[in-house]
Amino acid sequence: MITTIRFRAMGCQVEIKLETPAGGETILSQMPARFDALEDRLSRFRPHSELMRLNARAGEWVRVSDVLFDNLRQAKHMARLTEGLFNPLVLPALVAHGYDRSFEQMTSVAGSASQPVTDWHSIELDRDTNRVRIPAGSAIDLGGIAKGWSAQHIAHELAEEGPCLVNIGGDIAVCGAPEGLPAWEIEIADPDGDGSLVTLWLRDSTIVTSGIDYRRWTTSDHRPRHHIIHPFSGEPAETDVRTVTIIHPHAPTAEAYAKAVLLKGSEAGLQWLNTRWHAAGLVVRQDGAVLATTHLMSYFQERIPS
Amino acid sequence: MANGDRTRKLLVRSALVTSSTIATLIGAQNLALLDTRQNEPILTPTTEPTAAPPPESTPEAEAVVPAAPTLEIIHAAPSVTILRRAGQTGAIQPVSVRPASIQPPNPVQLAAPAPVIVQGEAPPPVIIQQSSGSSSGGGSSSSSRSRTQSSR
Repeated sequence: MITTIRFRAMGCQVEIKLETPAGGETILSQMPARFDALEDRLSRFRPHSELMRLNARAGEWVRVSDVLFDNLRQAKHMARLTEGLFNPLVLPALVAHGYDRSFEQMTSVAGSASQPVTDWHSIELDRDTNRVRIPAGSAIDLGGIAKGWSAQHIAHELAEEGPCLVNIGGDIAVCGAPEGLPAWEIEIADPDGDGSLVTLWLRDSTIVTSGIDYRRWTTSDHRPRHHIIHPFSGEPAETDVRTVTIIHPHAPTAEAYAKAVLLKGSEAGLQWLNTRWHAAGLVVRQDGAVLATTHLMSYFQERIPS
Repeated sequence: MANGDRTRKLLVRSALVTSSTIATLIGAQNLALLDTRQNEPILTPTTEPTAAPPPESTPEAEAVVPAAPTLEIIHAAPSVTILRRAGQTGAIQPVSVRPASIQPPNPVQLAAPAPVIVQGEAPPPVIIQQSSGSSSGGGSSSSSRSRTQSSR
């Protein structure tokens, strides 16, 4: 029996599916509280979250929880893997462009000049004592890393009960497969409408989608803005990519690769992706074209002969 | 007499040295020819592709697999495939390159309507229970299906 729960958390729709012989409803009914606790650690939209308390003490060594420390460690590693195209210190630039509150609360915002993004190398982590120091004047936004980390963390916990799927606003982690099926079915949404582009089979892996088709706004000077900031310029990215979907066994890595492909552009990004271990990707371009890495084909749903 | 013997010995030695030198040269030449012949089948295929045109890197490259009337799978770069051209819309119907087949899913068996759990002021979480498996038609409400898109 598959039990499904849907609720809002982390600024987006959360969907969790768990297959158990019995008791699935009891297990899943605890999930909203679990996500609430994670947001208290990781959200930049909660002024008193542990992350925002760390940001308020930029320049000092701060002892943090295991959850936040692991997310910061992953974020710095992702910056290394993408040669700085993913940079968790992008928050001041995001705020400068008006993304200073949860997107659900945004209306018209004042925009200001671009702000340089601090070098990610300057994030200092002391694993022995769980202490962190970020440069004075900087601030961290874990962004999709926190969502990916949470999806995979919760999925691994639930996997002890049975096959499961955790979907946080499109960041999906799956463990095992439903009884009678080879894997979970994942649709990649068509950014042009309510339909889907393609259906994939996914098992014991993660899939994330990022893009500039959503979370767009216009500043008071009528300049269009979106939430993907290029760390090298501090400006909203200029790219031919509308949405990018990445499959990778590790959700934070998939998130970071999605940002990197988006910033590199469709063809250069996908060719770069092919040099990464275990990664597959699909891009929907601004002109409507859909490109994919050859490796992605192995995840396509087989057409069943009629 | 002694001079005649010395001369004869000198001639014999010279002949031996000359003949062995000639034999060495002929042997070396034969070995070189043999090596050349053995290498020919190996060298030929590796040199040909370098002369061939490189893989196309533009969307105008040749169509490889026509999968549907409106779909062509095109190699845009050695490792990138175009599934839908610019300006087109709608779902794509790619052909899987995986040779192994996947078992058809089981039919859906819907369970009784699930209770709704209300939590505070936030939109309530909804819990639904369904049997595993999905219809072959793949309805979007399938219990084993989900969707990825930009965060919303």
